[in-house]
Amino acid sequence: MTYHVEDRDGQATLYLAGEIDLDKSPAARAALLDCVDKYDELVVNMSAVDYIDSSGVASLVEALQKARRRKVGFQLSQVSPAALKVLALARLDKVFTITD
Amino acid sequence: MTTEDNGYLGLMTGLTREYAVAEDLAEVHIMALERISTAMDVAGASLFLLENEDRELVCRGCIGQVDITGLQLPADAGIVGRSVQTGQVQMVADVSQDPDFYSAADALSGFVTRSVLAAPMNIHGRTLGAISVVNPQDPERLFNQKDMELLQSLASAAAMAMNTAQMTRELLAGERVRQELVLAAEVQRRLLPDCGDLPANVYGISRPAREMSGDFFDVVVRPDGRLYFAIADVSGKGLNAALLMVKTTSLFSMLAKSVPEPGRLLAALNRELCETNTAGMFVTMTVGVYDPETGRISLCNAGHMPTLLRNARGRFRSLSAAMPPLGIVCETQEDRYPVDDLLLCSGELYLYTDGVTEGHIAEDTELGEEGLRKALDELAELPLRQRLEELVHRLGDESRALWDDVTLLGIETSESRQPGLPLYFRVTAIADRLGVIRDLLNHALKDLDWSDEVRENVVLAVDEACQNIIRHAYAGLPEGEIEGQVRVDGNRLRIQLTDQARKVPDTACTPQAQSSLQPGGLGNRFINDIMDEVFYERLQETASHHTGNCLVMVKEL
Repeated sequence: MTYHVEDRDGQATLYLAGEIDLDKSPAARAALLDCVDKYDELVVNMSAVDYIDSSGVASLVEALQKARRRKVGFQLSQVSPAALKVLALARLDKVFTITD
Repeated sequence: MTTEDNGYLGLMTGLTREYAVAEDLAEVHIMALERISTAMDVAGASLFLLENEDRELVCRGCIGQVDITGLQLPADAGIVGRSVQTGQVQMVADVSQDPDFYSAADALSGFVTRSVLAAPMNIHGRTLGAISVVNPQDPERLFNQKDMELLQSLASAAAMAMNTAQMTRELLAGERVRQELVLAAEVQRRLLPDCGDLPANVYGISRPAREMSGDFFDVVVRPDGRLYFAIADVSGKGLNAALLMVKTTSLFSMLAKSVPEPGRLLAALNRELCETNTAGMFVTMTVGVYDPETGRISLCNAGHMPTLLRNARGRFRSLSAAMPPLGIVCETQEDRYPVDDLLLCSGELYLYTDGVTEGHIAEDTELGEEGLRKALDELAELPLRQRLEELVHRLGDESRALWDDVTLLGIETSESRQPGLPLYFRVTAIADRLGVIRDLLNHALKDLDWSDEVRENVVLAVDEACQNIIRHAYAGLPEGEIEGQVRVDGNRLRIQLTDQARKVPDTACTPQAQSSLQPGGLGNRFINDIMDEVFYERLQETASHHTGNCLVMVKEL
């Protein structure tokens, strides 16, 4: 799992890539929560996520909940088919705002 | 230059020569004093050296009627002491008039010292001691300015000659140690396997940063064709690390013959090393067995750098150590360390010491694990031997010394081999093993006529079940193992995961309510949604094991 952040006028895009599994989700979680703390608008680009498991999904859920509390805009974009299937399996594809 | 001067010059060069070839310094001191006393025509001469951290003057040579060899004085006592402390020649025409005169020797021997001349032995601003002469043979003659200058020159020449002789001796001793180190390094090098005798798909390199190394690797081809291999790194550098390395090597070769299972071997090695007082040193080590016939590999890692797997598509998996280094935790009752037992898909396996990843590829730039992966990708087209040689070359060559001992061992699968069904695996319960399990399953389940989506879902369910074992069943306990068996049973795929952890409640697989947004519990929902049946099977209780758990997941074909 790798990530990087692009910041455009207070709106940040967090690019997650690779496998977000039990081994790597702590790093993804830390990056997500850090972005929610720092920015008013966060887009999580998941186009290069090859694999995500329940711990990765839990990190997204935790970040979403924190974003709602802090009134930070939070959306997922370009979610890879592999990650989208898992979000659907978790019945969370309607909970997140997912954009192309 | 007068004939007399020529004589004195000859005397000085003679002194230098004698000190240079001296085997016994005490004899040369006597010889020097005899030459000085003859040249100066005196009744006696003695040589005092500063010893015991310059606190005392000890007589190391003496000629004349009284032998005071071995006499010890405080560093500032007597006329000799005054000469040493001031760094100046001291001339006393009548010692009875000098309060500093040390009269104890005269009182003991009956010798009557009339006059004394003492010159410090100075070299490079440091005083080694002093030479003193007493009583000109001619009772009418008194020491004069010329005597002072002569004795000072002779004392300085003696100091220089003595100092040179001392340095030469130290150099020779150093050279002897160096030669012994070269021989010891050669012996240590011979402990490493000759890679020319090994199959082409196995290669290892070990380069010491200094003469001796704290690293080692070994590869043994067993009669049945299986490869037994090990890599180890002793903490610290230099001779003490090298000696512990030799001990570990010997223990490994001995134990490898009687304890062929890597987990039992490392547990036994740990016990042996704990019994030795290793003065805070420890050993990190990975031991493995590879069967080229079946492609199976069995690995056990005690505190060593992660084992790197690279598959045919260039994807890396890194397997970290499950146990602490050897020689540290001695009170463990474990007779077997946890082991990873996997099918090595077509690709490569690399073991290395920290000298590789902490090695410098440029000024202030460490290679790092990411750098190692990149380098292995770049060099992937080279045959294994050249690949590893080139990698080590990047860390140091003739012009750039190695940062640390460097050891690398590579094994390539000799033919393309993919896991199929039935599939068996055993992994240590660490999160970085999940990727390996997914790779194995993804390959094995391709045997079935399933869509990618169904296959990926089943892989996810197994991943989630293994996570539960790591996070919940083994939580708080030392690292354990997860054993997986995947097989087709009639028209069903049966996946069985076994652990030796505490018994989990039967409700452990209860899924989370769908309306909940709480993290946790989601994994169980995935498992229950994906699989057709999920249940625990009762395990036979044994005296030596926790009961453990056996989770069975079934998917209709």
